[in-house]
Amino acid sequence: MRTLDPQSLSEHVDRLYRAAWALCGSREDAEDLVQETFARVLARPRVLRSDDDLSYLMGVLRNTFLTARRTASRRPLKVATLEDVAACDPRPTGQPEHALEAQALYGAIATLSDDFRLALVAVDVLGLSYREAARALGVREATITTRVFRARRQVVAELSPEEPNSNPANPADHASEQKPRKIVSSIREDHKTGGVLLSGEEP
Amino acid sequence: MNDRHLPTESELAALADGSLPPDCRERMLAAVREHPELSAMLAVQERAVKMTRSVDVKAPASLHQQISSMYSSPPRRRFAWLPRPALAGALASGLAALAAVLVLTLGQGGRHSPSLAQISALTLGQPTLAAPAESSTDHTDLTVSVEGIAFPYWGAHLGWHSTGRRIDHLGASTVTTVFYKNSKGQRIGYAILAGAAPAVSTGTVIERAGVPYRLLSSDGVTTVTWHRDGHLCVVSGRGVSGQTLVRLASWEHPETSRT
Repeated sequence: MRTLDPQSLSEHVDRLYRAAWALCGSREDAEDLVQETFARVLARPRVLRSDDDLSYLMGVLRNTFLTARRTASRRPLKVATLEDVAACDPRPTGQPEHALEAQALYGAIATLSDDFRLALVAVDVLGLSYREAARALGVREATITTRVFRARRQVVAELSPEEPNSNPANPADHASEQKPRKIVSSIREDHKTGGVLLSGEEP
Repeated sequence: MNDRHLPTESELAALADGSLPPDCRERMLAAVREHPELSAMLAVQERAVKMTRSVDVKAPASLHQQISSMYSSPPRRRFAWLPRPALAGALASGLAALAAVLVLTLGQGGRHSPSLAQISALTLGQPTLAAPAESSTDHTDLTVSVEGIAFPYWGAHLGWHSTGRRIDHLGASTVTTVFYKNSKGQRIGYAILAGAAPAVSTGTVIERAGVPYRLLSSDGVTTVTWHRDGHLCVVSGRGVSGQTLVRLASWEHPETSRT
């Protein structure tokens, strides 16, 4: 048990910003989300059970993100017109090529279901281990790895639809993600031992 | 090849990002080499990992600054909802006298709600987020709202333009504040408290269009508070007249009726 040192959090701002961008799909929302996350964390002294500040921050980021979305969903909806469509972000970044890549990639991640998105953000964007991500998100490690596998496949499909083996979101993806599954129906060959399945296909 | 050695989705994911233990890694790579389908799947996983890891955008300097300013203030104590030192400095003496009045003005049920003094303090603070724009669907509103209660757009008709905003947590309550400035350089803050509004019991009541606005003033800080759809709203400014604040608070677009 230890008390979180607020000064030590500054080194995580960039990574948390990227994670927030991938969760929200927009830079502006990401800034708000990161600020809100830090405001929550710094509102009072925090006692952590592990040495890993980043996985703790991921947990707070997740809660803040989901809470903000729930709040937004309760607001009355206004009918959108063509003028409501957001224009390109006019602010300079100093890294236009990176911003373009990030916008495309994080935009694709933001289209994933919440479970897949959070798993991918925790592991691939924030850089947590599967174990840390599982702890931060409150799910089993095996669940995280399966979600990450499928989330990656969907992101690649979104960004390059011509890619073979990057078949887009499969409705059955959520059906049995708890069980580690073997892959590739075409490798069933003739022997019947083992459950070798193409993801999403049921025997 | 024996089925037992075919990798699971989890193993392929871990193989792609290098987190698979070395002994498993060799076994899985051998299986992948034997099956083109597995190779293709691994390639997709590796591609996703490479794309994600190659993006290295930095948070904007403004966000770093905002967060740095949060560290410079010690964390708020859970049960002592006092303004942060940075804010307290800005408020200085003017608010102190006002606070003595305002802190007593919230009625019963406000035990878990922030005091009016605290909310008023926030309206005199500094923005930490970008200024909201005029709503493209309702030209009397800005794009920022609290639980469906939108902040007003006063730019075109009244000459008060939004300059920034901030979101603060006072205990379990969230206060969103939008700051406005006019051409004379006068500055005000408009705060909306999320959740059920505590009752306000003192101040001079000025009724406009059936809505009671409560006006309080001390040491150059003027505060007007009222309810919009069950939400507590507070507008404060230093050196701004109560008449101006009440007029702003009760403003209705000539063609629109605001509740």
